[in-house]
Amino acid sequence: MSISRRHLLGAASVSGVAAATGAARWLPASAAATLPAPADSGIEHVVLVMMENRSFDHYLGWLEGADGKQAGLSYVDRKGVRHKTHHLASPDGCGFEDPDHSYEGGRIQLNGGKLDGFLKSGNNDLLAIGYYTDEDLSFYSHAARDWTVFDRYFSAVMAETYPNRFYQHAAQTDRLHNNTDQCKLTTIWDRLAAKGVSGTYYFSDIPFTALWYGKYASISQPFTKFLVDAAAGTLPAVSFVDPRFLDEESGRSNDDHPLADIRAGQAFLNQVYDAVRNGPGWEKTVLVINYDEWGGFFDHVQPRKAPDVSKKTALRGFRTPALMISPLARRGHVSHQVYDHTSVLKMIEWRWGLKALTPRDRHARNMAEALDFSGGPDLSSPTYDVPDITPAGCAPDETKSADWAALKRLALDLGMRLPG
Amino acid sequence: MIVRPLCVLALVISGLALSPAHADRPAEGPARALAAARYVPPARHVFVINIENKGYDETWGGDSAAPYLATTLRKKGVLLNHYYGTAHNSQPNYVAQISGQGPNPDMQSDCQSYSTFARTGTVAPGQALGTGCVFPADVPTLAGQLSRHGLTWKGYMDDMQKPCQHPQRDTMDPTQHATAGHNYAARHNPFVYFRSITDRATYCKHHVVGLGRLRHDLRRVSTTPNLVYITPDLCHDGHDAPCADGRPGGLASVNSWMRTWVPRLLKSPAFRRNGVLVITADESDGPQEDATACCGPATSANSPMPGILGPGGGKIGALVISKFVEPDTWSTTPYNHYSLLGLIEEIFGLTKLGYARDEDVDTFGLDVYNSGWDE
Repeated sequence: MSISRRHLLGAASVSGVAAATGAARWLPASAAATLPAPADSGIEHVVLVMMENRSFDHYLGWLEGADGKQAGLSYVDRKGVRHKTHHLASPDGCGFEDPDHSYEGGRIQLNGGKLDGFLKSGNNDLLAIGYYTDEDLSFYSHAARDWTVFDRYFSAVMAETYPNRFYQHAAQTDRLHNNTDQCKLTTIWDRLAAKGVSGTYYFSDIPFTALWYGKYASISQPFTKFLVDAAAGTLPAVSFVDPRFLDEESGRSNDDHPLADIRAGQAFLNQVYDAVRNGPGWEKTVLVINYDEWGGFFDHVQPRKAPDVSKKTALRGFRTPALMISPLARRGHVSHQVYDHTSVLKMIEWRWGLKALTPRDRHARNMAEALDFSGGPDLSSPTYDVPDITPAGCAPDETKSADWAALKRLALDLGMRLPG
Repeated sequence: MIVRPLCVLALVISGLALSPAHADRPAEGPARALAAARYVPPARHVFVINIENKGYDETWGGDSAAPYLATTLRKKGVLLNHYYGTAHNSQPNYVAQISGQGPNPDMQSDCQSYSTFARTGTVAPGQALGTGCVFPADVPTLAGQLSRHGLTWKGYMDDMQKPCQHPQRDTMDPTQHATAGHNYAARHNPFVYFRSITDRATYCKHHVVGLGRLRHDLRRVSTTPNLVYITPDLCHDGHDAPCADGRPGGLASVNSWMRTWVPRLLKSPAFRRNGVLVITADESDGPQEDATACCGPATSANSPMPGILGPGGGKIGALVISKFVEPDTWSTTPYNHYSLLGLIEEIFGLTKLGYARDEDVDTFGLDVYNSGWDE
């Protein structure tokens, strides 16, 4: 069964929308923290997990103390019919269209600051204005309340996956759309190597680093190695950890990208969390969870321009969920400062004395300022009961694009060893 | 809670509710026309320009050889970056725009012979089955629909030597290749492939005219047809490069032609009052380059491969300029030439023809008509 836009658009809003949970409460921004000397910070490991394609309101809009909106918003579709935001009934997106999250689609959704175009781009259907609550998210329902969440964290650029992931590695992008052209941008890995600081890129199925055509093959390791390194206390100074990208279209990935079953993403994040907190390096580790971009899902906060190498890419994308977990992290805290992916780079550059890559990370806020350096590390960490699931997957749809499949072919052509 | 099987087709009907925007429909408007859906603006003049054989990136990309089109004009309108041709080669794309008929192999080879369409039957949605190129008189067209509803149309054919110029039926088409003196191509003039038009010589001569006539017709609202369908000649539409007479052709000639003609359209009182201008291409560079489709039928009644090597005519893009459009914006929703037919029919309250009725063919919505006119 396949539901396409024609069944959804032009249709009146369906009644029976779930009741709002957790009305958002705005808290004033806390004063910027004074940072210790980097070497005295107690940070020896930064672990970054970058998931895929969820907006803040859509995913964490239920969180108390954060600036989220879920129930009660409405959007007019391409056919002039207004629809209300609604609680998504299913943990996967099967039967829906993957919401448009392109460079152009984001601008349609933003609509010059009106933020009213979430049903007017691409093939967007009612998935784009659906949301999940804490009851749907067995990891975040606890982790978002226990650790630090950021409600002014924006995707770095109003564009799709590869541009945003380039920002995460390089504080800029060399393209506006996904393609497998060779990337020649200087990255945080180069900065780390130049200073003799260790860094590893861990991937679950497709190495994003393949886009540099072999340059980073030696620092690209399978996710199983991450689990081993975390358990052995041999994690490098900087780890980027990526989820399973393949099979997004069939709902079987664990990266949270539609049409994925979000329970698989929650299980993956809990696995990373357990690996980090149970490893010998936990005391000196900062774990950051972020999302490459908003995925075409609704959000009510307008992204602004940031200093950038180009006017074309200066506009940030919509807000994305972000969490910080660490013995140094504030517990049960919501940060309201503006961050994007390059704020993670800024923290790494600050800690290890690295040069900024571009004006973007040079001017970014340092995410470390959200940590609490005053009281020493708090090693306690709760155990979460997050069931591991094997997503059933959606009925096959051969018409869907497959950027990751193209990157997989490239990685194999380059001779990179892929798991499985 | 919303569950996935949203079977709400009935509600689409409610989308056809009254639109106050149509209160100014002129008196000569159709008595039995369909009420316009709420997303259809009160446009009364549609201008269509097709260039030839240019994929999306080539025409609209940062390195476009037609900077006036890709930059200056683009800033005036909404760029549709998922607009697709429906076939390869040229001729069936034009036919799709005015009739919703899909291609057959003779059409896909651009009707080298101006052959009579030999009909063997009809299948839904309104598809004549058969071979050949010139459709029988009862195959409906947008032109016929407009005339029947008291609305006006003209095809303005650049470098056409005499009104309604077309080859003798069942003879080879002498306009397949340009000469130094003649750049008109019948295969880019869809109106002459319908006997409902060509069999009525006077009607045809009044409606299928040389481009020069357009300057006169643009002077007043009353002389500007509701549908202005413009085909630049083989040099001006970028088909030839270089042109038969030595001009550069390609996008360079497209650019200079646009620079001459589009300002005339934009300045015309009819366009300014309630016009919608659509600039697109017939197809991508060719079946080898891009034979993809966005939407609509993957096969057509007479051809298993509308794009010869694939289901469609490739991604070409379209620019829409209008007072109902916010300048310098995007639409990312998939559309094709059948969508264009369908939206023109929606604007004028006509029933949809042929593949414009296909359930996978969408028409422009508020993503394109995005000026806020509806608010």
